[in-house]
Amino acid sequence: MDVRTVINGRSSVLSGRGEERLRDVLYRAGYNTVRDSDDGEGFAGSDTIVFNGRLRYSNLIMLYQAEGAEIRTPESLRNGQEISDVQEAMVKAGVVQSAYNAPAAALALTVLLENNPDPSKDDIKEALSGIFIRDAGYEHYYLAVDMVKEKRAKGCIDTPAGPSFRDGLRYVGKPVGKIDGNALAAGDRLFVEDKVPEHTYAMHVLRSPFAHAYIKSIDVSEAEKIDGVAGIITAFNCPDIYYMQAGQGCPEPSPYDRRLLNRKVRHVGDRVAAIVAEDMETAMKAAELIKVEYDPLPPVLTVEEAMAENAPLVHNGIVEYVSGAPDDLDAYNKNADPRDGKVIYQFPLHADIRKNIAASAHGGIGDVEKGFAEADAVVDETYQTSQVQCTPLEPHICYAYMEGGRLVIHASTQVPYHVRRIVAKVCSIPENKVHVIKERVGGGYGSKQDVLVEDLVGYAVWKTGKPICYRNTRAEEFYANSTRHPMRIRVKMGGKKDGTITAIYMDVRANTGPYGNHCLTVPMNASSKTLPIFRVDNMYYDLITYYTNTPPAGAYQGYGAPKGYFAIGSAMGELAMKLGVDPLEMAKKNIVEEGYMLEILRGLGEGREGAVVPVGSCGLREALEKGGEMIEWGKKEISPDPDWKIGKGFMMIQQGSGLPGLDQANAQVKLLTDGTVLVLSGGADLGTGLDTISAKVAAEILKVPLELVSVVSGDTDSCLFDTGAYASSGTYFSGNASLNAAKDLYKKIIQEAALQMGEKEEDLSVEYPGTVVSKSGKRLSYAKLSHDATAGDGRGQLIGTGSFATPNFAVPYGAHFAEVAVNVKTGEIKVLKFYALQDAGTPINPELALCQMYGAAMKSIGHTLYEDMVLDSSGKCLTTDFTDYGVPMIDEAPEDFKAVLIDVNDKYGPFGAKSISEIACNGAAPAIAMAIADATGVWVRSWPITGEKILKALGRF
Amino acid sequence: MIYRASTAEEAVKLRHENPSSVYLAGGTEIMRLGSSAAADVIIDITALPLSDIETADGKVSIGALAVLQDIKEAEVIPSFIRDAASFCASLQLRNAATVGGNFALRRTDSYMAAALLASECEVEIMCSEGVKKMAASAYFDKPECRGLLLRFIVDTKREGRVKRISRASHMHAAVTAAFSGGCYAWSVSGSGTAYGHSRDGWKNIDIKDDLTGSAEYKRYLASVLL
Repeated sequence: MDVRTVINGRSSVLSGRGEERLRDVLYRAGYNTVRDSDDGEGFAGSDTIVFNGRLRYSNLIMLYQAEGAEIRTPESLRNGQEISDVQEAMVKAGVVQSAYNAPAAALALTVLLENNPDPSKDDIKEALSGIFIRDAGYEHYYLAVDMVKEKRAKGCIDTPAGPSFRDGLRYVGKPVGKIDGNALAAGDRLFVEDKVPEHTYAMHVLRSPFAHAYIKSIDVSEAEKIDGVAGIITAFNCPDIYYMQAGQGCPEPSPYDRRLLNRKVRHVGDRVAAIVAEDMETAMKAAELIKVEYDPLPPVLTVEEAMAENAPLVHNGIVEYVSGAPDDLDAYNKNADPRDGKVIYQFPLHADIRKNIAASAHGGIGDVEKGFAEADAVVDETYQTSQVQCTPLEPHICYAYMEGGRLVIHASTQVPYHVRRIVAKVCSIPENKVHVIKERVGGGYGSKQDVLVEDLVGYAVWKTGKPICYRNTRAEEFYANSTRHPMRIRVKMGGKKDGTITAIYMDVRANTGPYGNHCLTVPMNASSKTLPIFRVDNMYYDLITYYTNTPPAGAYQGYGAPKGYFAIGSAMGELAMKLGVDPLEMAKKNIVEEGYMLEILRGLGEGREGAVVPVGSCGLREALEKGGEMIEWGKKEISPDPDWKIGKGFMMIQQGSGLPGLDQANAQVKLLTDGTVLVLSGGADLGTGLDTISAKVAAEILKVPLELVSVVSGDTDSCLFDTGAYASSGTYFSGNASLNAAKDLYKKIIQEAALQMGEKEEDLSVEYPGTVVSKSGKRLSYAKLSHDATAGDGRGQLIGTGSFATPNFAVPYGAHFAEVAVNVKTGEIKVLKFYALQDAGTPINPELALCQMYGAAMKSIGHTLYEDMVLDSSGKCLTTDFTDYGVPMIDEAPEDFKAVLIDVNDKYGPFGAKSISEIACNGAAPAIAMAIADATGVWVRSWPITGEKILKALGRF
Repeated sequence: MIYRASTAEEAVKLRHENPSSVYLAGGTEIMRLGSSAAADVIIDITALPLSDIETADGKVSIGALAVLQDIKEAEVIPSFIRDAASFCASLQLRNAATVGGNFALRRTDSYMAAALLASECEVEIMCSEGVKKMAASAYFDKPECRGLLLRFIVDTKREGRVKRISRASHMHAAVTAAFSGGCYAWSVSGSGTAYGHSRDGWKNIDIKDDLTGSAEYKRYLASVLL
C-alpha cells in the first residue's frame, strides 16, 4: 500500500505492506538513520523517530498507521554537510563513538531542547530514557546539552570536553573531537547494512533445538525445490576443514575444533544448515522443509557437570597437533568417535577432551603454603561469574559478493586480517582472493574479534556466486554468538595484621561452552591481569577450562580480567575485614610500583614462558589516593531512612596494551599531490577513535593541520597488516605503527626537500602548517614539494611506512571506587557514586577516553548487578531479549559518576599513551561487592549481585 | 487481518464477530517482539477519541487511550497512579503505551494494574449492549470480556503509594504493589494479580519462580512492600 506522510517537512509517500513495521519502510525509503537493534522489542531506541510530535519507536508502528502522520527522522538535523548544534556538541563531548544510536540520541535531545531550552539533569535523563548506549555511557550527554546551551548563548563552544595533556603538542592529548564524528552523528551510510544493494540474497541459519546431539541425517530435497533457493549448506556438504572462529594471531592458542557445520551439534542454536535464497522469506520457508534427524545426547551445562566422572563428552573426536604432539597420541585417539570430528592444536594447550578439558595452565612464584603458614588470617572463598553478552547495538552482520574472481567481504569486525585468513582457509583459497573491508562498527566489545558470521557468509558466496547479506537476530546474538566465559574462581589469600598479604592462590575453572575460542587466553587473564598488581612474594594459580553445551564463549572487553578482579578483589576485602584492617590501606601496602620486577609474569605466558619485565609507568598509587579522597574513604554515610544502608568499596586494577611479542601493526602515510596527508592504517577503529589517533600522530609529526589528514583503515587491500583491535592494542600498536609511518614520511620529506631546495638535510626542518624551512631562510610548502615529486620529472610520491612490534609492555593502571546504597527491606540496590580513576599514559583523545571509561564502567556495573543469561535444564537460553537479559540504561547510571585521568607519561606508547577502555571493565564488580558488604555485612560471591541474594543472605526469607 | 474501527461500537462489534481478535491501542505490547497477544484479527482503535484526561465533580476521567506519559504529567491524577505510569522507564514507550492497554492485557508485570486496582476506580466499557460502568476490579476479573475499555474514573483526592521491584529499570517487575484508601493490590510476575482490603491478599496468588526471581523472594516482597 501507499501511505501519504510528511517526513522531515516534506510530503512523502511510503510504500509497503500495511502491517509492515514503519522502521523497515523508512529505512528502505532511504532514512538510514532509523536503525534497528532489537528486532521490534521496543527497547534500544535505534528506531526512534518523532511521530506526530512525540518520540516513538518506529518498530512499534505499522505502516498503515502512518497515513497522514508527520514524521521526523534524524536526517532532519543536518543540512548538507552542516550538522546541527546538538550533533556538533555530541561530537565535541565525545559521546559519538561506535555511534549506531548517535542519530537517535541527537534527535531525542533536539526535541528536548526545542520544548525546554534549559533542561535539568532529570529532563535529559527522561529524553534519553529509551535509548540504549553501550559504548560511551551517558555522562557526557549532560555535557553535550550544556555545550548546546553555550553555543546558543554565545555562538561558540569554549567549554572543553576534557582535560588537556602535553602543552607542547597541538593535537595529541587535546579534546578536539573525532575526525569521523560529524559523519557518524549525522548518520552517514557508514555501516555494513548501508552498503547492501537491492536484490542481494539472504541467508537464514537453521539452528539446533538440542544442546548436544549427533545429526543422523539431513534431508534438504524438498527445501531445494523452492523457487529462489540458491543453495543449502550442511555438515554433509560443507568443506572438511577444521578451524576456529577466534580472531587471534596465528598460530592461535585456541583449538581448531569445528567446521563450518558439524555432524554433532553442541549447543542450542548451533548451526545445522545455512539456506541461501533470493529473500529471507524464501530462506525461512525452505528451512521449514528441511528434515533433520537428531540423536540427542545428555548435555553438559556447567563446569561442575563437565568435570564430573563419566560426564558426557562435548568433543570426543580425533585429536591432532601441528606441533608438540604427545607420544601417546595414537592410544589417546583409539576410542575417538568420528562423528565428533577433530580437534587440532597448533601447539599444546594442556587439554584433555576426554575429560572435557579445553585448556589448562598453572604457575606462580614463591611458596604459597609457606605464605599461608605465616599469615594471621586466611580467607578461602569461591566466586562465580555469570554468562554475559556484549550486546553491541549493531548485531553481527556480513555482506559479501564476488568481484573479478575475488571474494569481497564488507564486515563489522575488529579483525579484518584474521577474517581474511580464516575465510580463505574455509574456502580453500589463497588470501589474495579475499578482500575484507571493515565498515564502521556499531559496537564490538570483543564479540567482533571472533569471526562468527563472515566464515559462513564468505563460503556461501564463494560456493553459490551470489551476493549475500546475513545479520544475526537479537536472539541469535544471545544464544549463537559469543559471551563472557562464566568462571568459578576460588581464591585463597593470607595476610598479616599489619595488612601485608603473604600469599595468594587462585583456582580458575572456566566454561568455554561448545567450542574453544579463547579457551586458554581469556581464563588466563583472570590471573595474568590480576596477580601482577600485587607485590606479594607467594602467588600461584591453577586454571582449567572446560567444554560444555552452553552458548559459545569468547572475547569480551576486559577478557578474563573482570572476573579475576571480582574474585581477587572480593577476597582481599574479606581478608581485610577478617584482619580488622582498612582494605584501602591493605591495597596501598601490597601494590606494585614503577621498577618492581614482575617475576610472576614468568608463569603467566599464554601457552609459553612469559617474559619477566619491571613495572613501567604506573599511576596506581595516585589513583588509589586520589580516589580515596574523592569518595571520602573512611567516612561512614548514614541514610535518614533506616532501611537504606550505605557502604563504600574500591578495587585497584590493571590491564595491558596489546600483546607484546605477539601483535604487530603496520601503516603507511602518503603525501598527496596537494600536500595533504592520507594515513592507511591496518588498525580497526571500532568507534573508539583509533583513526583519530592515527590522524593526530601524523599531524603532530608532520606539523600539518588535523583537517588535512584523512585516514583509511581496516581495508585489507589498501592497508597493511595489523593483528586487529583487541587486547587493548589499538593505541599502543596501531597508533605506534602510524607514528612510525609518519616519522618515515617526515624523513623522506626532508630528503626530497633537500634535493628540491638544494640544501643539506641537516639544515632543514618542518614548520606548521606543512612547510619545510632551511636555515638559510628558504621555505617549501608540502604542496609544492609533493607536486614536484610527482611531476613527470619527479622522483615519485612520498610514502612513509611504519611497523610496530615490541617486547615492551605499556600497562595501564587505575582504581575504581563505588558508594552503594542497599535497602535491607526490599533489596533495592543503588550505585550512588562511582569514581573511575585511570592512568592511560598520555590520553591522545582525552574526551573519548573519559567516555570509554564511563561506558566500560557501565558495562561492568551491568554485569555486576543486572545482566544474566539464563538457561533452562535443556540448555536453551531463556533471556533472548534486552528486557529479560537486563542491560543498564540511563536510569541505572550512578547519580555521581566521575572519570579521572591520572597523568603519567609512558616510555613506549605513542607520545606516552597507553590503553584505556578494557581496564575500565575491571573495577565495578569488586568495588560494588565490597561496598555492599560494607553496607550490609553480606558478601555476595556470584554475579549478578541481586537484591534477592542479599535479602536471602540477610535471612529475610 | 487489520480493521480500523471508527467508533467504539464498531470496535466491539468486530471483536464479537472475530473470536480470535485483539484491540490494538499503543501497540507497545501487541507489536512488541515476543508478544503473547496472539490473534488472527487486529482491531485498531487508535482513531477513537479516548485519550482525554478531564476532571469533574471530584473525579478524574482518564481516557483508555491516554498514554502513560500524559498520565505521568497530569497533575489532576493522584500521584501514586502517576508514579505507576512512570514505572514504564522508556519515554518512547510511555509516549505510545496506553493506560487501557496496559490494564486490559492483565499482565502480571503490568505497570498500572496494581495502582488502578488499589485506587478502587471505576471503568466505563462499551459492550454490545452499550456503555456500562463498573468497578475496575470487576472488569479486571473478567478477562473473557470483549468489551472495550473507554475510560477510568478515579477519585482525585485518592491518596496512596505504589512500589515496583525490578532488577533494572527496564526489566520486568518481580512484584508491583499498591495501597490506597485501605485497598491493597499486587501484581506478581509470572504468577497473578490480587487486590482487596486484606494486607495478606497476596497469599491468594500462586506465586511461581520465573526470571524475575524465586517464588520465596516474591512472596517476601509481596509481604513487605506495603
